[in-house]
Amino acid sequence: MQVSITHRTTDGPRKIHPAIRKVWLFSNTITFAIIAIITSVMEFGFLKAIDARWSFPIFMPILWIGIGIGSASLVKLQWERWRYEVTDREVILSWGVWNQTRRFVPRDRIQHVDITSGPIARKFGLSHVHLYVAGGHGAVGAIPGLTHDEAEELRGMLVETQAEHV
Amino acid sequence: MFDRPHRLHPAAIVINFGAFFVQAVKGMAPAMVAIFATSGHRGGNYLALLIGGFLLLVSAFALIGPVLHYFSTRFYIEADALVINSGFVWRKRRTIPLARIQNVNVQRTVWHRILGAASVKVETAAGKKSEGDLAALSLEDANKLQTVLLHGRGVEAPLAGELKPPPIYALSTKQVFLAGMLENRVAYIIAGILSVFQFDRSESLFRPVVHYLANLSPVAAVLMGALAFFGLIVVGWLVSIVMSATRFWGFRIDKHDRGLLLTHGLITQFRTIVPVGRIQSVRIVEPILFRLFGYCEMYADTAGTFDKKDVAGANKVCPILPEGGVSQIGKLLIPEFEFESLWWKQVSPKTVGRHALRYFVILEILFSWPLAHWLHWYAAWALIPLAVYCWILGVVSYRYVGYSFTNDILVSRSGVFRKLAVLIPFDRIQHYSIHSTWFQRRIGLATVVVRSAASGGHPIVIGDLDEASAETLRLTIGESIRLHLGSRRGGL
Repeated sequence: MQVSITHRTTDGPRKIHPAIRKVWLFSNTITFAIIAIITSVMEFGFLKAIDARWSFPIFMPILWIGIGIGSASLVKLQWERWRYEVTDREVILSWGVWNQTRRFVPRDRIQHVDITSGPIARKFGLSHVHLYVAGGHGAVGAIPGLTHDEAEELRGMLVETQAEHV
Repeated sequence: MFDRPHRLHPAAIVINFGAFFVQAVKGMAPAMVAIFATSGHRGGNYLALLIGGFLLLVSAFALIGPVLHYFSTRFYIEADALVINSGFVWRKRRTIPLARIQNVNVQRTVWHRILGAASVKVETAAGKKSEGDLAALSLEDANKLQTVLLHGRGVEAPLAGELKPPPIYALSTKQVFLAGMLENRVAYIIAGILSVFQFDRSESLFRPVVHYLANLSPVAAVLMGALAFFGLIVVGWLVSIVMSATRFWGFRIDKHDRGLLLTHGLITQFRTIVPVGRIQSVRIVEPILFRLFGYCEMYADTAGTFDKKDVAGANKVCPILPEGGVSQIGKLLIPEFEFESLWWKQVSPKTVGRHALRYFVILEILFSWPLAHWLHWYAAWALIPLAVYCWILGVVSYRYVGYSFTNDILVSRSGVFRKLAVLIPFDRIQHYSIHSTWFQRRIGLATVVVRSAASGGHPIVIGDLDEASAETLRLTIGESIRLHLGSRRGGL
């Protein structure tokens, strides 16, 4: 039953919203700060336990601040690399700075779509759209940094494909 | 049939209790062995007795669970769904729509057989464990339920003792033993020994061994190592022969209107229906020993069988298969199956260097310490043969790795010692990706990964294609999926 109806598409690849850089920056900072604090406490405990002459933790804070700065400097590239495109038959996602991925999801394989937005993303008016296919390995793709309207539009496009095939 | 709430067979009490008991004993065994072996003269026997007594007490309490489970569990089929009510304090009602059931397994352990019962395990595409687990039904009910769940109502299960047509494929006793001999379970033995040492708190088992080894000359140490290695292999062999013989005894594949019926097992009897219409991918595995003798193993993955340990090997269609028989069985699983007549495309030759480098780094990390320990700086010379060896592995791998497709299926193969081919029909593909790491992009390579609903652990991975071929391949895949859109199979 070849369907000849043309689906709504995005007309070419789209970028995600630039404000996502701030969201990533915020959430990375918070995550790394928490890890830095926990590991510093562990380092402190370790230095106490071995009776080191100097028990103030230095290594872990520097390590995690370094990693934090490193990841912050990648945020721009990360945003530039993100593209999503809904074609007639497929959803194409591409992302990644060091390891780059281009993922193709046939539209009629999509089982359901989630729109989520965490507290930080919500502050910037952004949502994430997650795509699910059969198989139970979680979302095959999460498109970050869409405005609520864009997310709704995307959801509409994808769910419409589904409805025709049921 | 099964319209009204059914109880389990009373054997369920014994079975559930037994399962718990075996788990408990398994968990305690290494500790018990370590205690007995190390401290007999220091009151260790009392300690062991104490543990034994504790175990008995725990088991007495543990009996309550299975009894309550038996009295509280009911199952029935209502509006084309299997409903299982269970729980005494926390009630649970699970509804599994028949249309969502991927597979139903009937299993009989030795206890089931003594008590005239069988267990039924129902799998859907969700989760990692069996979604419906009925510990014991009478054998007749179990077979009936299996048929009803997979067919819908109004179909009678074939009567026992009915004249059976000859099997499609059967293993001779010789082949069953061969299958055991070709797979070695050394890892099991090593894990067992390690778990005993783990409980050896006083180190009276462990320390003498280390002490003894430390005092040996390098040559003697190597000899001892080799001896221990071969000893382990022989034991591993014996264990795997026994395990394979008990598991695959009387293995046969029969035609069933729902797919293929696999029956096997000497002590625990397995009766598995492989629902052919729901197979997502087929794997052909050739470990090195199998290949030397011209055999392979064959797996069929349905959505949901991913890593289900409790239905061990349910997706193993055939434990040992002569290479010539691959197509015969394959065609039964996927009508479009094609393997021997495929024309394979190779990946980029640059993969040789990448593979060699990877092996080299791993082997160097493994061997640098012991070699440097005995040979000091002379050990650096060992890098030369190591590099040559890794390069050869890289070439061997490159010559075998490849992919192929027909109008209906996509196949990849890879591996050096253990060769693996994965086959996914285009209408089963859920999504596919092109990955490239920073290193790959430097030399213009990319990896294509294709997943079906079942291939969580076993996707098609075609590594180190040059970028242009990767792009061509993904266009081919996209086009082929489009051409198969008419069929409903892809949506499960």
